[in-house]
Amino acid sequence: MKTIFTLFILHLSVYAKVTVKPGLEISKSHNYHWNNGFSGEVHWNEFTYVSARFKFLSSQLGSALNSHALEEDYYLASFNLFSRPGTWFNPYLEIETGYFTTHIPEKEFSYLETSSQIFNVQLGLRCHLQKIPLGVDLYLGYHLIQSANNLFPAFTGMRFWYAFNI
Amino acid sequence: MYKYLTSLALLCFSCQITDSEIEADMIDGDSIISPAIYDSSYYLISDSLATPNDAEKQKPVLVAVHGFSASAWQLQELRDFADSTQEFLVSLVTLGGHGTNYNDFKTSTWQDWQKPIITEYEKLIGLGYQNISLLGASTGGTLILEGMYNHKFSQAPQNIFLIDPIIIPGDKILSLADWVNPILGNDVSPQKGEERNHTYSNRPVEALDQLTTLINQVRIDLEDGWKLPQGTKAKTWKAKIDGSADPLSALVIKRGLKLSNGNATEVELVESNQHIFIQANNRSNWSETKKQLQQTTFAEIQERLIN
Repeated sequence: MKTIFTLFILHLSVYAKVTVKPGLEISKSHNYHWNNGFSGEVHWNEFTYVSARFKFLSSQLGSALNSHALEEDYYLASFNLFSRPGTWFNPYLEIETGYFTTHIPEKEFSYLETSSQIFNVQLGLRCHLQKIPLGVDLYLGYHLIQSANNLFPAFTGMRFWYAFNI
Repeated sequence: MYKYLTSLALLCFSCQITDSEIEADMIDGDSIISPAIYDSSYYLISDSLATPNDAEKQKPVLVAVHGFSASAWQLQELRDFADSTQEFLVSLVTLGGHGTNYNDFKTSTWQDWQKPIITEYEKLIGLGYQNISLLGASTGGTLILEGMYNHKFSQAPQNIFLIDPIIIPGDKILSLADWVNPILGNDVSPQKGEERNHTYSNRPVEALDQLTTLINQVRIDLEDGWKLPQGTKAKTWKAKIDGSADPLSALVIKRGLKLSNGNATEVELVESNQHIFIQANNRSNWSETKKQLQQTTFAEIQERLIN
């Protein structure tokens, strides 16, 4: 079993053609902060219905920019399942995990839980142009696990990406 | 770990409300009305001391505002304290849409809730009172902040006191009030004993939506930062553990609410796990320590009012 798995990974990493999709992302926790940032997605061309994504979002690039809003950072990795691969319009499911942290220098508030593991699910719609490798994703997500005082449950977002083959 | 899922499930299965669940001893029904509504001659200073003499005009008056779904009864102990020391006056305002019945509560907006605060404040100014301050508990504090930010009070108050103001909700599910609650139904929080006469057990979707709108707006204003008018001082007390108003509310105020000279306003985190820690009414687990904390806070408020 281990051999098969190792061969599979080798096949993916060495022989498979990969499409990389760097993107810019705008996200909003519902009734709370804007969190903006960037993402990178890896799409194996032989497995068009799946992808992996890494993401950094921060309110420091959103609501906390030039304001007193709390500075909140998200470090995220996700697995995506696409339907209708090969077409210009793909509904998708994203399962995401990662880490959430808040910068609070005020010592009297240090007792509060302002960091948290993250596990969320998202439903999204992906649209991309046929001739130019540009696309946009719209999504709606919900945090299933959290323990931080300032992690709000529902969020929406939009991502613009560019694709190129490696 | 699965707090949100559990909360959603609980809301789904246990929080639907029908009129038949409103019992005779609940303020939600038609048979009980808050005494503050029909006996304003006791609760409102503008009514009870409508012709003040010169000494009374100089006396500090504190317009005290209760929180969401409660009534003037919530701050009765502060009034009792003031009556016992005779150093200051407390005018107990009942928020609009509160204190009568479920239907009034359901159909009122946060602007309706706020109106009686402004009305009482302006009446006191009109009667010649010269040393007026504002105190808000929970949503009462949020409404005061909104009023101050939008210059709804014609003269600057001497002091603003905020007790457990809600800027960030303790239960983040409240942030979904506009999306989910229309499907899930009302929030039911059954009150016990005497509190059933004074605090709504049923919190309608519409009121929760109004609350969310209000706290969202006030949070954004604070994050942008703003200054109090010249001469107005402010202090915020916040329970360290609070299921209704997240303690981070105090941090948002500390960062965003400034005195006219740009200095930060005072914020004190209090060793308490009770929302509105100055309210003892009907709380069975009220210890001597909590009683002391209440009295210390009342004494500090008095000190700040008379100095």
